[in-house]
Amino acid sequence: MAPSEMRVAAVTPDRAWARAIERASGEPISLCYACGICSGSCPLASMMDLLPSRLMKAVQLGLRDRVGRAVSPWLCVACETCAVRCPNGIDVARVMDAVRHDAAAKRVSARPDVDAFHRWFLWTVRMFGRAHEGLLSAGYGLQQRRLRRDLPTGLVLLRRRRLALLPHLIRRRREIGRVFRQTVGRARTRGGAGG
Amino acid sequence: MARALAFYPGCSLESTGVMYHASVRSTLQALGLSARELDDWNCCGATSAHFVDPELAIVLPARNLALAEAQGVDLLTACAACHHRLAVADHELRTSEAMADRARALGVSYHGGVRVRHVLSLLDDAGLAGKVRRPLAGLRVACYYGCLLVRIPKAGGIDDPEDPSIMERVVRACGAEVAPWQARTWCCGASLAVPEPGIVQGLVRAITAEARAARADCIATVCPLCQLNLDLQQETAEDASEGRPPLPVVFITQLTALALGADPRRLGFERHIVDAGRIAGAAAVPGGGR
Repeated sequence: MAPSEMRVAAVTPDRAWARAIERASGEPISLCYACGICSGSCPLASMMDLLPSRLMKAVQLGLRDRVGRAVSPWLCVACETCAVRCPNGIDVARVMDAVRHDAAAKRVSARPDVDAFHRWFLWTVRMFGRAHEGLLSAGYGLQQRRLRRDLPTGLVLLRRRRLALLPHLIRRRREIGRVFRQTVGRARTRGGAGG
Repeated sequence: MARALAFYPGCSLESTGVMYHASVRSTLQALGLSARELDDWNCCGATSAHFVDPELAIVLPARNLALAEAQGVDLLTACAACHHRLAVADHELRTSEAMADRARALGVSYHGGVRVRHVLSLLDDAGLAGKVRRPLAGLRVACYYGCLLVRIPKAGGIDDPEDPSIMERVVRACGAEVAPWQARTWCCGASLAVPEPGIVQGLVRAITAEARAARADCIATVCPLCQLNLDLQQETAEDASEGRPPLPVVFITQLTALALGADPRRLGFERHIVDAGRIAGAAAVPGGGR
């Protein structure tokens, strides 16, 4: 953080929220002593607004709003490099998960487009029991108005016969529907979490 | 150990990763191993389920574990993401009574009786070297593990997360040469390729530059999404002014199937984006040597 950005702001630490994130993630967040190995190992760090180790510190401090608007959890791909290197055995990617779930529950997303991609993926799983890359790309491309940009890639894959045209349906799709209904619920598969 | 194996291909092996599917089948057949497909399997949720919901992330893969348990079989995986999610779900349901209860309430009852094995560890134990019919002599391979197969923090990956060696052993058993390089466990950016192709191009460029510097003839992968990203983003990622041809990106089982004498035309080499034809031709003629 540049010195010019350092200023005293009135921040109320939300300790109950910090505890809730620690519980939801299942990770001992309070053990983090900010060594920075996670940030140094993260392949997406250069694209993040809040480095993983700083996000950990912000969670410890209960800075709910700062963490809530961070892009970092929406760019984390859970490569788990942070997790296998953390000297305190903290799986930082799972903390990213918990922070993201918390934001999404309030229908907030710093990257609604990334969120939408995952929800379209899950929508195809919910419909057929298995993912369908063609419908995922079509639905996502139409909704995000980027079909023209994505189409050349789709055509390359089609030409190489690497896209299944028809979805593969499992027999007992009802079981999958039940799992979705009682976890993510009814309205929250397709589209974004808002934002 | 005498339990039968059921193959869990995963969704990508029915579309973008069909070459992985074909070559796993050919490899198993050549080794005289059988694994029928797990009946009525569903998507493991990949990275999307845990992105959105923590329970979905466990219960979706757990349904496959429950199916395998009911059918009395162990699971054989090929896709790194599927393996990761199945291993995490297995570990979670074995260790968390609360999650096991929750899964049961959602209709998924699993008691921890299934072993999840990746095809790479099966190959490592298969005595490959003695069964090779067409050694891949002269082929220099950069083994690319990516993330999800070796980094499964709580359940444990299939090898050392920082310095794995299993794929190199398999490649050497095939008679090929291993290219030492440092990007073996770097991340390709996974599904960010769709919403953020620029980020993935940057990551892919770094990985392929390392493989090139190590004078590799090809990159071998164990994950359909790694293969797709490296195969697809390479043409655009490589600096055209360098004028160097892009590197073919193959699945490890395409190499083992070739070495075991399978018909190269049945291994899907024509479906690669970066021409992999010269890899298909790399196997020496039986008995001929090179």
